[in-house]
Amino acid sequence: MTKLTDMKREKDSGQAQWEYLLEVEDLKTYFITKAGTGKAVDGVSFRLKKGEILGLIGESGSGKSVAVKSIMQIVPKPGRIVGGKVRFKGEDLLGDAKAIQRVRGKDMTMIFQEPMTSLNPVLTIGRQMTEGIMLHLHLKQKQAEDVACKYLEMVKIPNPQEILKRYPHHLSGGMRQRVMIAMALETNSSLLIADEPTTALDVTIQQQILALIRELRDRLNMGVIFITHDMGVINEISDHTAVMYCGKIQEYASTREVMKNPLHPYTQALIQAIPRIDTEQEELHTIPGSVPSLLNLPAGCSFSNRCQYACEQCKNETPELYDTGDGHFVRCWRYADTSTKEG
Amino acid sequence: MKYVLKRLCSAVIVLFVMSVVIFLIIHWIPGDPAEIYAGTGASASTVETVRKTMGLDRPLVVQYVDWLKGVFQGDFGISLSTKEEILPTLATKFINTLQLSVYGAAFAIICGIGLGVLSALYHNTIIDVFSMLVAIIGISMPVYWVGMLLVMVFSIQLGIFPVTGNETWLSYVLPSICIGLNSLAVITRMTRSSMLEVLNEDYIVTAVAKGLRKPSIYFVHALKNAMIPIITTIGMQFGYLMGGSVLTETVFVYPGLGKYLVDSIQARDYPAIQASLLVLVTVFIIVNFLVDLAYFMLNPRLRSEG
Amino acid sequence: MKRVLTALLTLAMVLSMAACQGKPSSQVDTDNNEPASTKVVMTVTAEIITLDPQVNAGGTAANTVRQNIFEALVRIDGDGNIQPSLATDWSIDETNTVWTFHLRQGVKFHDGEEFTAKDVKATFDRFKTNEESTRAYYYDNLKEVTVVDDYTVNMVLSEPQSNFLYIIAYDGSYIMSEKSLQRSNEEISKSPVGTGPYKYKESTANESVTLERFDDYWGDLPDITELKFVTVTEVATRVNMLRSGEADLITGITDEDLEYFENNDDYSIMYGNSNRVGHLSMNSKRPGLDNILVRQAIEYAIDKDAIVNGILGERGSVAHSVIAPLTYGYADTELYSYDPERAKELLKEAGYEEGELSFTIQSPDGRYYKDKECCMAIAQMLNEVGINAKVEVNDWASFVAKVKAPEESNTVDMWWMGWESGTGEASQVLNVVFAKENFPPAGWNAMFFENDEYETLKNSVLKTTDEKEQLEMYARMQELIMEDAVWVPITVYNECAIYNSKLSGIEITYTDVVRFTNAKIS
Repeated sequence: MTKLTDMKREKDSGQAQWEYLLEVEDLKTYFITKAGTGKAVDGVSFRLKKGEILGLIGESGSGKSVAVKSIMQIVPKPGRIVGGKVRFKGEDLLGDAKAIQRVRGKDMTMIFQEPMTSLNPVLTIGRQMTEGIMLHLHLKQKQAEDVACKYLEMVKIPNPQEILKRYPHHLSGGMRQRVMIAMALETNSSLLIADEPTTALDVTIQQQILALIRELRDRLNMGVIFITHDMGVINEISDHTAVMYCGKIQEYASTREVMKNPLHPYTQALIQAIPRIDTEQEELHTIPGSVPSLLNLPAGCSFSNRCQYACEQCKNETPELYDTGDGHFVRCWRYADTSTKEG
Repeated sequence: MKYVLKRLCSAVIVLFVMSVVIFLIIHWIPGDPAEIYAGTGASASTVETVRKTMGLDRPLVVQYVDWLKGVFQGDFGISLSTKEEILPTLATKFINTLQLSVYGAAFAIICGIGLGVLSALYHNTIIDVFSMLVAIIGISMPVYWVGMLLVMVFSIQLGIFPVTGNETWLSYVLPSICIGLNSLAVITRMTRSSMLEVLNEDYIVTAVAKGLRKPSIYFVHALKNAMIPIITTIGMQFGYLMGGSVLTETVFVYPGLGKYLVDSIQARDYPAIQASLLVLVTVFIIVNFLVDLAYFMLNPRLRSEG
Repeated sequence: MKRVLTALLTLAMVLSMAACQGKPSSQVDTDNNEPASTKVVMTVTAEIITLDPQVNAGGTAANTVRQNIFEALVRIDGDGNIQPSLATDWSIDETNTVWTFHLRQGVKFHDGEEFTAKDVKATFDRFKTNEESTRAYYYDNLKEVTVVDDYTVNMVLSEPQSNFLYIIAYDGSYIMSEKSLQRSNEEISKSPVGTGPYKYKESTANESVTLERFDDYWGDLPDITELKFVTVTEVATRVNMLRSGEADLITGITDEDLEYFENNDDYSIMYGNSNRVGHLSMNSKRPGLDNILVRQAIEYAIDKDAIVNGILGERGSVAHSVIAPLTYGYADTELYSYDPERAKELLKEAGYEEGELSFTIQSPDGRYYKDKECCMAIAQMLNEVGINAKVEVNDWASFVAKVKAPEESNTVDMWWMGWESGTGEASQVLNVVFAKENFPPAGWNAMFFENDEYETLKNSVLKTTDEKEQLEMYARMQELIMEDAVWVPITVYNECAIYNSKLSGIEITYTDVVRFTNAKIS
């Protein structure tokens, strides 16, 4: 069994030093259809350092998935990135058409929600694992297979040699997700984007995957963006948390801060909605109203139609992201005067 | 292995049943080959003599058994109209039609898959519109008319290809296009829709996210999945090609099995009809078997079962 | 995208290179070192099943090839007269049963044998011994053939037969060499031996037959050195082949196709009078048609001029008897004219209301020029006088089975056919088609025509040697048929050949066959 400490990470040599692994600045991705323009991501900004796990939470339709797909530039049509900057290791990926090809799948990798359908059913595991290695690391078939086996061991899959010859339908959901993680790591990537990787798995497997990701982050010092709609998972895995709603980040802080002191009414509602086993609950908390259609967002704050504190200003003017100190940002009029504007 | 044996057994049974069915049907159709052969001026006694020579005065069962015995020994009998052995003629014509069908199929498959893939990749652009136009034309234009059109433009006006025959390689071009056009349309549409479906699958997104280059994504990840229904379509189409070759063969005076079969039917040449149909049925069976095999190989999910 | 464009460009280049290989042209090689060889390609409309003249199969296609390979003792010229061919002169004895032929000397067969009397004997004896011959019945009256000397032969008949010379001229009587007849029937059928200007060279079964010039031919050598007959069943393809030069002569085209060639100097058009009469037949045993008044009404209801001019065009002329003017024994026996009012009167007289009668016309499917169209026109004309008529189209084999059904089970009312005399004289049609003994299924008298005077005439017309008497008898027979109104003769067909203008001297015989013996090429 190869020790993880044997794996050496290559330092970037000869490149300008950068402070943040990933910087997203005012990212806008719209879906332009005949029915109207859906503003799926409407001015999202955040930063990520090496070795940091950022949790991105929100309901379905909040834009979290589209945001990370925009970073990878795999937004499905008719979506288009219409504005903003995405800087990876200091380089603007949106500026140059070839930039994304240099890093996608190599230095910046992604795993997906549905392990059952995310692997190609007619190609062997071996083929699907080695093609990335051969392409990005320029290794030959045999060497690529060795690397693949090493990573399969790392994600705790037994008999990696055998698995390489199998097809996806021979593996369980949990194993497939591990294979996907192995595929995402094997090119020595610096940034792993995980789009709800545990949602489709049962709870025990979920725990194993989360533990695995944490361990890998510790050893390999990777940056991770972890998307989920489950506050409990956020609490377990992420260092920082960004709450998204209707295409905008509504609150951002360290996870401990967000859990202890949620400021945005939406965040508060989300935390309240977590079912607890330690206290008696008669009813699960729900948030009244429903998520507005992206084609038909309310004027003003997008949460205003469901917020208990909503006032006239909330309904008419869109609040900015305000810094309330200690790196805790919130997009709500209630904190506008007590803070410095962030943007 | 067991799978192969099972299929072989059922194939033989189908062949046998078909031979009886074919025999009964053509003897049941009105029309007397002896009359046809003897001609309109012939007296009744002449017709009778001819009928005896043809062996048609014997009871049906005897005729069938005799014929079947011959088939097992590789003897397909004597043609009632040309008085020559059927097997050599049939073999030549069968090979001709097979050749034409293969060329037509190659044309249909290569251009069909190519066009289908292109129109899936360039979905909703002018290329897509063009290929759908080709598909509609290919399906709706009658084969005979297409053949005539091709001849008028490319043989007479432009003088590139000969009108008839099968001597030079050039003379195969127009008939291959003619016979394959219908299949081309079907394959194009099938490829397009299959590719579009596959391109929407999650594993394609994974492939893109892995940074794989476009050729690899389209032709390895996508096409291999898309091929499964396409192969089935191709198999069926090949059967139709062989069976429907008569129109193309008539237009281009191409000495093939289809025309031979139609001429035999008109002359009520029973042994020739039986032999031709049996050959066609066999081809169908073999093609279907090959398609099943290909399906089996393309789709690994089938292999682990059973 | 770039790759697609490159592929297309390459394809375009390949195609244009192929085009530069030159158009296919009718091969006229004029090498300086060799004598010019000329090849002419003709399309025939059906498979050439056999070249054995003693077998009927193969129709006009086989007859066309045979016409150029063989010769008989006598032949019929363009005016219908008997001319010498392999026989130089002939005579008949006082009993009218022994014909003596003096044979031409210095004639060679294709296999090198000299033509002598033994070959004549061998040829005709074969009818008696060859079971597979379907033309043997023509010679039932020929008792024996005796060799008098090398160049004299006697043909002995059982009874006098005044049309015997026509039978000898008929292409069932082509002379083959005794030596070649010793081979099997298959060999004779494939590569027969005759005395004609062309001999068999090679063939591909069901596809083509090629003949080459016989340089030892006793007569004038034709210009063309090679004749290839290709089977092309599709009329549009024949037209295309002529246009592209792949064929030099085609037949069996429609009026519409003629337009392109008509005012075009590159092509010549030739019409040939034929022996064939296209007609509507009626089954006189069917309810309604068993009344002669009804049949006569039908005769008056049909406008022959309209059909000939409107549908057949140059390919037919109006018929005035059941046989064609070219046929020996023809007499204009037209009884009826186009008179729809008279037709309606006759129907009323017969006791039928308008719309009470319904008949079906059986039509073959393209066996005769525009047969379906003529039937549909007739149906329309019948409808106009109050008879419900519709047309049923059949493939040939089904058509034969329907029409030749015996009286009890025959459900055919009317049908279209085109009888011709293969021998160029009237008895071939009159004695056969209208004879009482030829009711189906034995023969083709599906009109069930029966007339005692007719039977008497039929049995004696071939026995008389007085030509005037014979012609009178034939005329009376035609009259009787017309009076009984079992046929409505509509048209006498013309055959038509279109060919490359560099050909000349093309002939079309009375059996619709193209003859190249005197053809020249420029």
